[in-house]
Amino acid sequence: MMGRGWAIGIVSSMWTLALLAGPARVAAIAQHVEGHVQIGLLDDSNVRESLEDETSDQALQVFGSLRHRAALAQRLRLASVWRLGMHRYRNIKDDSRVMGEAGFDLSYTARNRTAAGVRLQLETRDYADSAATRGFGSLVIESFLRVPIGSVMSEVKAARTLLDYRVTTGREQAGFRGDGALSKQLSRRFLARLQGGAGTLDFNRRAVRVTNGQVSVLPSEQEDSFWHIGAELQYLRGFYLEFGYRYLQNDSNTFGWDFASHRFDATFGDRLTRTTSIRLLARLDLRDYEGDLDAFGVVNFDSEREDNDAIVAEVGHTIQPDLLLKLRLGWHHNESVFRDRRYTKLVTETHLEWRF
Amino acid sequence: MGLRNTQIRGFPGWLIVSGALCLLALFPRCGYARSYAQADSFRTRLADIDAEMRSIDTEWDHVDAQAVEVKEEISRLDRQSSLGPLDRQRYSELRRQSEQHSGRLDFLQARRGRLSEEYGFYALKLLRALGPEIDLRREAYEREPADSQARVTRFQEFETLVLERQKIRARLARRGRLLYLELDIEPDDTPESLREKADLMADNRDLLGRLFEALNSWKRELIEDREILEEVRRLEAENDFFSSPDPMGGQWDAGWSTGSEGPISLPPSLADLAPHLELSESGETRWEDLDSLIVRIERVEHELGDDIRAMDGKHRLMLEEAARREGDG
Repeated sequence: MMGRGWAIGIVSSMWTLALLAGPARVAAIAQHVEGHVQIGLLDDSNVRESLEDETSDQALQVFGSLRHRAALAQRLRLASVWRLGMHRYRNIKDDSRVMGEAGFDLSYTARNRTAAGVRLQLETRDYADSAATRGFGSLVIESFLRVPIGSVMSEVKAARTLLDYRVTTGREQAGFRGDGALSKQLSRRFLARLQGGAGTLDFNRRAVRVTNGQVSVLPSEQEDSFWHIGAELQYLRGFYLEFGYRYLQNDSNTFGWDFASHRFDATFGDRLTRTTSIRLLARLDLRDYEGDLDAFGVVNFDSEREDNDAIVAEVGHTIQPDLLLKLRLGWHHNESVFRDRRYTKLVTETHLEWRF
Repeated sequence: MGLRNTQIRGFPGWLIVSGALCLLALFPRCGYARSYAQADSFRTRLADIDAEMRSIDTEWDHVDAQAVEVKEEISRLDRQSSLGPLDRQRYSELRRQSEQHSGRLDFLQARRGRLSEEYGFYALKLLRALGPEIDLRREAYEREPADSQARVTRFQEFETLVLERQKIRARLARRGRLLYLELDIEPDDTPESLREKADLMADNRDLLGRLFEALNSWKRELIEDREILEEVRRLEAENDFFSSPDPMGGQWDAGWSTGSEGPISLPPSLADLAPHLELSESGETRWEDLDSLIVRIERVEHELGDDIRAMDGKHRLMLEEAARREGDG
């Protein structure tokens, strides 16, 4: 069973890494390890992510991460990040889930800041309801090259992405993508960034159509290609502020998946006092689909909580140097299983976080 | 494209993760040593590089002087309205010599550039190696009882190494000398000249104190910026983690985070410290390297603290020696 294999691999590896990175080893090879564990409660106003039948529930959330950086040689760095999380709902138990993620980044940086490397990211997610079709494992392999051109930093990336749903067959996603970015420091505080890219995504999905009350489910090999272009402005000095815009065009061989997206992002972070800080993430994703989706009732089985429109605000209070209390409020307005129809949910969270 | 060849069902993920971990466990064996026991070999290498640079400078002066003479003679011949057969032959010879000089000067310049780069590389290594040695000498000096001869001797050992480090730093600094601790107590110093030297030492110590404060203030700013940035990135990462992957939305590569971050520039008041902070030529480091930059700042702060202690100690010794000589007089 692939799912259990991934989970066992990630969990055991986290512990092995923690042991490998004991204090003596850290001192011996110039490496850095940090991590956090948090436990919290959340209230979700729409657990089923439904358009009409909004059911609220409360959940216990446990989340931990481990970050590791090591200098393998003077200019060769290895970084890894490990995350493990769990949601356990009080009433709607079949939506409880366990998820894990591991990412590795091996990079070489030359004296003139030219850098090249590879990244590997593995992710797994399982639901308490074994019949649920949303559990998956995914893999991303990416290579990147950063080259300074005068005062501009250029970056190109190429990635292979694979995703495999747990239960059903023929629901895989596989893709290639290439991205490029140019960033320039406008002043000591401002950074501007232009980015663009293109890729392909192949799905094996069940195409479901509801026409005049008749439901038809057909296996479909969907082939999508997309390109995007965007810009960002970042500010860091005393507080952090970022604005971004991205235009994305997706073309598909399957009806209901041709669309253009205008996405606007804003990010803010500041320290209110020595012990209290605030953060805000906001996203608006305006999508324009080709064709009348309502008339054909196009259903997207893969949809879960893909962030379309969202506002997430978080206030953190440091109780002790390594102990934080976090309050978070999130408003999410995302695409439901019905294409172009969005559900709304409000998530209120409180967490106690220990950092080490 | 069909998916028959791209399916990952049954993919042994645990095997990959475990394999990567084994590699991770092996990599530390390749770590590079920074033992201060290598200080002598770095000193020798720096002395060799220095000797070669001096030799290049001497040759440069010689060739440059010849080149100037040849150019002046070429100019003189250029100004003549017509050249006789002997002058024409001489003119051709001078042009050939001028090209040779130019080629040699280019070579010397390139060689000196490479040596300068190599000097910087070994100087930084020596600076790192000196750190633990200076710590040991300082501890030995501070352990000795006050006003004892042993304390003065240990202090001089400590001061010698601090001075060596200052000289290297001054050499690496972009704008001339950063600090100086070369003022010494000479046998023919009068009490007045010793007090003047002590005053100068106190002035330099104040200068160093201001540099220390500026560096400390910059570090505090960076720590605050790092905390703000880290908290934002943590929230983005957590939000991505609990959301579903969106292969087109970017969550598969970086989520709401945006990959490489912008650079942080060194404040102009601290420009001389760029080589010691191992910053690039432009005096910049990336936001993503804030952690390591802060560690490097703390190391330089530690070194400056040694300098301040050495200057305080020497200032005191000078005043004591002035008082003693006044008493003897």
